[in-house]
Amino acid sequence: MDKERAYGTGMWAWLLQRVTGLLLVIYLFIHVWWVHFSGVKTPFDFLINTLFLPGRIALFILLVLVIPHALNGFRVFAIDFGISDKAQKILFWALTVFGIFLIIWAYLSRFSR
Amino acid sequence: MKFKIKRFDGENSKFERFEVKPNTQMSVLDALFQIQDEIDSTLAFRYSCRGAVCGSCAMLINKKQRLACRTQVSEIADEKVLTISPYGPLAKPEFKARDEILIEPLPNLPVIKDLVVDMKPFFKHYESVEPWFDVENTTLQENMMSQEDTKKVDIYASCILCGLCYGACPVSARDKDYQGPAALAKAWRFYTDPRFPDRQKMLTRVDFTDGVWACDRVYRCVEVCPKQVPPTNAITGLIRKIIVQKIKNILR
Repeated sequence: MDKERAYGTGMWAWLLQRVTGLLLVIYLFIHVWWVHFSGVKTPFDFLINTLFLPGRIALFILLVLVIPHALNGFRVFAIDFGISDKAQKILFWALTVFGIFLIIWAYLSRFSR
Repeated sequence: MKFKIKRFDGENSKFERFEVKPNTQMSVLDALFQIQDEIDSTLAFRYSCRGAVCGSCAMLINKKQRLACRTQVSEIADEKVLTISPYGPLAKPEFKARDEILIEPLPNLPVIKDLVVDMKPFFKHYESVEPWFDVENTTLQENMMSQEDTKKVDIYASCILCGLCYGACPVSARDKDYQGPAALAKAWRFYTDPRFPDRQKMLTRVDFTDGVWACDRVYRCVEVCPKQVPPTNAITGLIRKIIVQKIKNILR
């Protein structure tokens, strides 16, 4: 087997998509229950600024789950629209770099203060 | 050079270790020949051409699906092995020492003896897409084909039916009724062939739950193919054609 064809991106992308997706589904249940069914009236500003102190950690974790899931979703769309096996691999790494950039940028601009 | 080989005698399976004298330019198949000749003549494995043309010697070497004749012992001698198998961390991990070479039969197919697997399920799915030209309805006239069309078909026609992709596919592992990457790549090879008489019929042969729609797009079939056939591209191609056809049917 050629070295560059060793096990790689597709399987990890699939696994990442399932893991982040499942965690986001769990989050959605908690979210809908909290804001709609729990009966607690929490002011938005208070919630967004204090959510799971310190450093609004829960909000940041949510962001870390959403960004890879959303970006990888674009890759899955692209595959079904017909990009090749080599292009999807390049796209995976490009989106990974872009996603890491987004997370760092979000952290520096919104969470580090 | 140590080899750790999974043996199966019809009832029980166990791992056995063999010491092989390494030669220069030795392939894994050569090493298996040496074991069979000098140590244990009961070791069973399948082979034919010894040159990556026939596709008989597909097996799981150091947890990767490869052709034994095409894999050099020197290249994989101190390879690290991922101990988590494709079924996830719940599966029993199989460890190997650093200098050993781990050889197992091809996954997803029933084992007959040692490294010989029953290819029947693989060829059952292969035949389900009927990948052949109907000889009875073919005229004796010359069948012309352009150079560009030949190039398109050639990518998929170079499949040697070794079953490596079937053994690597996680969907085939959990769903034995899934047609598998090789059969679907063959379906696309005939769909794109301009000489093929009824292309729409080919779409109906793969358009069901265990056909093209079961694919997870994990690209492991593309990664293990010794002939650089990309079955996932074929599957997404077939899916696009089916969707276009269904939209046309609605609008008609």
